[in-house]
Amino acid sequence: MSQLEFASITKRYGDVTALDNFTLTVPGGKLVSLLGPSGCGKTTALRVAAGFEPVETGRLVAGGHVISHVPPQKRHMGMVFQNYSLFPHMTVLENVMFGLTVRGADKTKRTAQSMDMLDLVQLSHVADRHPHQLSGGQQQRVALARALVFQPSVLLLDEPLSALDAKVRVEVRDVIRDLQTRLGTTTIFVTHDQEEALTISDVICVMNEGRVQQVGTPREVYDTPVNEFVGRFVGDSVTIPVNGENRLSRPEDLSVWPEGGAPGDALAVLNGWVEGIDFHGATSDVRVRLHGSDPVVTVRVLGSAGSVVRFGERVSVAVHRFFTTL
Amino acid sequence: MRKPRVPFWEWCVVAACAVFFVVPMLTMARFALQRVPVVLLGRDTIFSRWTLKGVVSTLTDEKFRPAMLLSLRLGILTVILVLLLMVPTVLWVHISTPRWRAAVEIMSMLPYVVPPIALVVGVSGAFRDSFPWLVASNNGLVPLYAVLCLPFAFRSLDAGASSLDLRTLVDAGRNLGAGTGRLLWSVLLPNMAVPIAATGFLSFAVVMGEFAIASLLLKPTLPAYMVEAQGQEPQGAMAVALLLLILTSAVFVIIGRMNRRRNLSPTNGFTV
Repeated sequence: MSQLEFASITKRYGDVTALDNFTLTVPGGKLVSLLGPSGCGKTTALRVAAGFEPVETGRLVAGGHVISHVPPQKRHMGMVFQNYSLFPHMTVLENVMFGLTVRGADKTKRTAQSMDMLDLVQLSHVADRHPHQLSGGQQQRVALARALVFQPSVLLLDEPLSALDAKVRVEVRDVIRDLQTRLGTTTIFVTHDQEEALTISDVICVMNEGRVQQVGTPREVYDTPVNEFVGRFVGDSVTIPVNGENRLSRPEDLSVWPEGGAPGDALAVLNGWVEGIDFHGATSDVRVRLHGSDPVVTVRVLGSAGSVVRFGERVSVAVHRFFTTL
Repeated sequence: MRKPRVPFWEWCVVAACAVFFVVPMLTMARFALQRVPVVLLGRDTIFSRWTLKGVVSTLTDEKFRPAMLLSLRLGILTVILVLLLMVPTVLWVHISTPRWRAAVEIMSMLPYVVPPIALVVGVSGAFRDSFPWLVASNNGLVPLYAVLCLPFAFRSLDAGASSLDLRTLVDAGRNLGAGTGRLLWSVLLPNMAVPIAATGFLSFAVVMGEFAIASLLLKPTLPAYMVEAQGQEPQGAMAVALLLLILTSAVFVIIGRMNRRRNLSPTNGFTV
């Protein structure tokens, strides 16, 4: 359970600054997500941690030791890649054993440990198969077992779910979280999917243009974003006019009523008409065009919105919460 | 799963190619193995006077064995040199410096634009003073043959490397603790085995059929001997040429099958 610390790391590729004075502490045993849009530097940060990208300025500290110049094969970190990275010519068991073989573990021990790890990801029954005989989700679970079998000091996950379909994503995500909690491995999880980050993380680090925007628990980042970028990137957001100023709010912090029917305790009431209703199953989004030149506001309601309002109807939108600082 | 039906016109193309390939081999066989004057080689004489006399006389000729052994030796040495040069180069280009790929590809095409005479004259001129033994020795052909093999070697290895995500495999290997040697032996070379074998076969085939450079440098290789033997025992020389052609074709079929097997087990695809 070693702590990993990025201390003022700057990384440039020509004129492009991928990491700009990047500072982050990943507490021992916790799962920290690096969340941000494409090109924000999150994968670069992970590759710096793995040792694939040299550190130009700043320091990388693991377990109290500066490891900025330690080569990747000596960092003792496990990594799961976005692309399927299993060795195609080896069986599943041989893949999982690879890290132990390299470390000189004897055959009986490494076979037993690898089979135990395959049991944990529920794939011991495919130990003799080759990677091309597995589904994408199974391949990533094997990659996870391979990265964890030698008990790495830090586990690095580089968008491991992005190539999987929606249902398998959730399955593999749960396996990752379960294993991480059970083994207590310090983990960095890179993703651009805010829902994934909110679900899986102990701590989220939101990044943009190579800089850290906010570090906090999922609830802190969602409920109290420190700037407009975080407010808009994490969770759904709507811009509402309050007292002549545009403010940021969440669709679930608004409610929609027949015109004039908004409750009196609302922070603000906006009038308009229903431009559309998007049904999502458990929830529906009601798109309301505000009067005048104001924008369209999305209000999230439970279930079907048909019982509350209808298309084209004049309505009132009650604002129950908005971010005062943004 | 039902195999997709092959359209009729595709069969026609395959049949035309087969005719184009097989008919010359049949005529070679008739010329080499029938003791019938060429002008009489028609439909009426198709079963007349087949014999192995010409072949036997060529194979037992005292110059044949050394020429064959020399070509075999040159073939093996060329394969080793080509693999030593090109495998690390292609791996390096794919893993570390993809932007150099185009430059390496252009360099590998040099034999297409430099004629053998220019190669021979240039190399002889450049090395005669400093390395006279290289020009005088039969083994001096090996570097020249290696240059001739570059286009085939690069393409074969490049195609193999492109079908794998080598960079990710290398990153994964290093992350798991493997040093350069272990990466090479345990990860890269096993995954490149088929393109490496194909490169070896292709290079060997090039050497076994190369005539121009050997002739210009007066080296007694098998193709040079065959041209010489044509004057004394044309049927025997033709039989040896046919044998070489069949062997080379067999090599191409083997390479094709290896590639097919490899394509049936994609590294990045999967079944559910």
